[in-house]
Amino acid sequence: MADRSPALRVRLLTTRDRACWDALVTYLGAGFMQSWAWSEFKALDGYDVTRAGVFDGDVLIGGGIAYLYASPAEACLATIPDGPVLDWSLPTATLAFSALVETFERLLAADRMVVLRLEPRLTAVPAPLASLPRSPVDLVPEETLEIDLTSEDDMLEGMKPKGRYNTRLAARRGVEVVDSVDPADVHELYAVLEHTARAQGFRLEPKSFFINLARALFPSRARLAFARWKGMTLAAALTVRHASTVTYLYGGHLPLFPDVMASYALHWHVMREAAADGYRTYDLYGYVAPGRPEHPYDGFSRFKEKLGGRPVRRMGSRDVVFYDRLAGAAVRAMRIASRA
Amino acid sequence: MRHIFLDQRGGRLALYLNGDLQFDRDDERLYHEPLALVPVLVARQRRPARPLRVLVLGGGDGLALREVLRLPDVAEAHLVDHDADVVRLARTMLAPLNENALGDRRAHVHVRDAAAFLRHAKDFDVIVHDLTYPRDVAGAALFNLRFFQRARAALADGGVLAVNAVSPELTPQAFGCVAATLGAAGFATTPHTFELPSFRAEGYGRWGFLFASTLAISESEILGLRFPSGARVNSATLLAGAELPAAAADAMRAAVNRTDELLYYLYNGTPLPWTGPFGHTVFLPSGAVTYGPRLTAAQGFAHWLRRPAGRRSLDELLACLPLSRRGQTRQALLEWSRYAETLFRELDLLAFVERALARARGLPREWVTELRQVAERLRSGMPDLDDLLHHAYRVFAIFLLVMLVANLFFPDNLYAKHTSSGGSGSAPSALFFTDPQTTLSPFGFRGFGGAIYGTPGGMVPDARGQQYPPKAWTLGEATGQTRPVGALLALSKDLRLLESGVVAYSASVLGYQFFVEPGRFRVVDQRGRDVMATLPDPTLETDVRTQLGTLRPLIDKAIADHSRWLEWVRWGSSLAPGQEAVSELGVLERIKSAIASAEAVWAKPSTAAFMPSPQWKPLLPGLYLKSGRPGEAAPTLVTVTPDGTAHERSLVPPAQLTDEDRFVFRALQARTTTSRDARLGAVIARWQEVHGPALKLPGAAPGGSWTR
Repeated sequence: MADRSPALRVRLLTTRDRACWDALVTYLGAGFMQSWAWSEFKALDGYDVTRAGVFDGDVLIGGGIAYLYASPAEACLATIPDGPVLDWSLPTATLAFSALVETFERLLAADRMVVLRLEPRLTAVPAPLASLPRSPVDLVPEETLEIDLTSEDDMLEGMKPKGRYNTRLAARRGVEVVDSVDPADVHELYAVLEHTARAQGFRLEPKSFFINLARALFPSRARLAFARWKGMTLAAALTVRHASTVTYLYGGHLPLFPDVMASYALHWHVMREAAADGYRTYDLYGYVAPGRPEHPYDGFSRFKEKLGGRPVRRMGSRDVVFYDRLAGAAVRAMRIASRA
Repeated sequence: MRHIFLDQRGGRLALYLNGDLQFDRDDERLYHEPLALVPVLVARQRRPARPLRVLVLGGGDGLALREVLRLPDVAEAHLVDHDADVVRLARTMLAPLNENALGDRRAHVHVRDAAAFLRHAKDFDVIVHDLTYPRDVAGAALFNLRFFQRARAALADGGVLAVNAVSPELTPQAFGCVAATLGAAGFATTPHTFELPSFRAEGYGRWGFLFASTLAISESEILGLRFPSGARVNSATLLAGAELPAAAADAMRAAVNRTDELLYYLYNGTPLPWTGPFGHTVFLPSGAVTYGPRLTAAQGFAHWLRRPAGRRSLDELLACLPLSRRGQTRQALLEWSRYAETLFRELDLLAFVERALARARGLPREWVTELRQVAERLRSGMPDLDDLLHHAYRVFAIFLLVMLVANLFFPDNLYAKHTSSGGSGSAPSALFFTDPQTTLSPFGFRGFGGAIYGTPGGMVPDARGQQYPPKAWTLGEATGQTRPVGALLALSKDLRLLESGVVAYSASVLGYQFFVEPGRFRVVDQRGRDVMATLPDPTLETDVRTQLGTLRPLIDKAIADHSRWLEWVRWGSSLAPGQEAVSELGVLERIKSAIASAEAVWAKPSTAAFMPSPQWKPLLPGLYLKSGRPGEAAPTLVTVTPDGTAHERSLVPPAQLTDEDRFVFRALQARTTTSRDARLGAVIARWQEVHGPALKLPGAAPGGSWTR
């Protein structure tokens, strides 16, 4: 293990560290993708998961969970979404970060990992990451809407008038919303998501992704909600619960009876339930401000903003590029190509 | 690590391992009887007096074992599965379904790795290969040549290996790859393909097994099999299952799975339409081990380099990369071209080149020279992109390729979140690779932006941001009259299902509407008159069929759910039965009826097949722009007619305008608006200059108000 100073050391985390790690993730405000439970889900989904902690003496002060997908290709990348988890304001942050990167470089994928992609949940880029190049794609949406979960009156007040009207209209029309933590309901969720993805031109993960997610995160860390009207399921959502935030990770609606505003009822229910359970923020997970009609998020962003909330722009992903490995992979490919 | 999910909702009993369906009680016998019972029947017929020894690899649920043990001739059966949890489930919750097969005195259960067990196995009459679908390198290894060679060594003379393969319909090359690998291991192989409703519902397609033996299983042998009472499988189903479409001979041509080639075929194949004529098929042993494609960058790069000088574009480079994941599409891969500039701008190219030079020993001289030249240019300041592409196309291409392959092979990136810097959804910038050995101008170029189809032009967003089609489409009647037809549902971003079951295509070409039929893309004017017809590329037709197929169960479920609700609310209602929500049920029934009409039309297979050239940029389905060289010739228009013939015409204004010309002009005009292509703009201007007002369309455009 890498010893960077007499006080700081990095070692792999074991299941005995789980509670301590999750407490640190919550304390430092990192997102759910750094939670132990999420990493278990990713392992089910086929990723190699490496959990490393930075210790000051015996005290866990930071770390990261990295995800890597084994492939036969010459080069691969690893990611630390919502991380690394560090107190970036500490003077030791740069040292801790370097030690962590060295550890992952040594442990991951022999010499094929050419990039380690990072995305701590911050709005400003911390100094140790300032010189890193911006990634071509982000691991989580760069911009989102966050709704404060307060009293029902205040949440309604925070909506745009049209959102408030439609939410009440859905209630008047008799749309009902039910929660579920039964993995068998993933089939119904998937049918809704599949249609939504096709209709809106998005790509959707295979059903196995959602079954694995349900098995790993239900009932306490994720749940489903279904908006039903006159017996029919018209809209569905999958939300993740972590620290003080509920995140709307997936959702969609069927193209049936749009006049009953089932999607408004769905989100209103999620907001009320989350507030009642003590959560403070509803993250709508993906948003783009008006004026960019070509952006793939534009359509649903116009819907989301009617629910209220404030736009939050995060720092986006940064890449640690391992140039030795990148050059090695390229030269190997050159050799094969020149022989072919 | 595998995760078990036993779905027991509503009386169902279905097992999922890591999210993939393994069996559903309702139809599992259709799977397990042919896979496990049939090879034992063949073995019994071949060696009647012999007490049979059977090995089941995988199949920890005990269902294949149940089938094996149906015959008293089986003296011993070994079940080998590495997953102790699944085996535990088989002994408990699944015991009624597998008829307590694991408790049978003839059964021997081994919680072990299949490959390790096989290494020391011998003298088995039957091996049942019931391993899970290969998703990664380790999974593919259970289908490779060495594995099947070991299986052959473990079989007694005339023994049978039954392999749970892959879908011969959705992944015919992968199916052919498994067959070729068995052939290379010395087996003659008979396929068995069949429909399994639960697999179909999960999107797995028609399924397939392969029966392999060093002694080919003949038709007369199949006809002579004696099936136990109650068996659903019989000689007729086996003979039918061995029949493959005539097109399978080409579609299933594949190399041997030496390491992980199977993965390449799983993700890069083209589905095989399961239509006749059919023929009985046997894959014969070949002994030849050919080298096949793999999920790597180098093979594609070599291919790209071999292209004729002057024809190397980034799109073509990306097109040489294999797809690497279920669900990844060629289009998704090509979208990454927009990130190439980001990578160039953000990364330290000099650091890369210097390290590559340090490793360059043994590389061909021209490579090393190019690396040195690039290093020199970079040291004296960052050259601009065009300069780099002109003087270092190979180095820059491999740099991009390695970075892209790392990104593309990370599954989450398939569903990546767009950055504000790189993925705004706007058209990517042009990138040209220039071979310094030639004096030709830049080769491939991205002269046009995205196709105009695919944009939701003319749509109206509602309050929730959802896009809606226009209120009515105009269809011509046989009487010469026209009638407006409403759009019921959006099948996809581009496709609309109309009330009549007609499938319309949404594209913003003022004054025209578009309808899709099998093998035909119709351009219709505002009076409902046909202007022209083209042959759409097969992906559009696949889209229609897929959307209709997935929509039908959704509507059926909505009707069933709603009907149950109606039953419930009727209690205590003062209204006449069914009156409470007759309008909703009516809407659902109309949609269902439209889907049924559409499905009837789309049941007809398309006769013509045509794949557009990668050099052509789609304008509309069946209509393409063929690029001239930048700064030189204007593009030409390629029209593919429904018989599959491509016709090329210049875009010089014709002397006399036809209805088709007017449409072409409008389509080009729409494209110019979205792509801002200067050369196309010049074409439009020339047409306006020559024909002026004659290009105008009489009357208002259909759906011009675009109101709901």
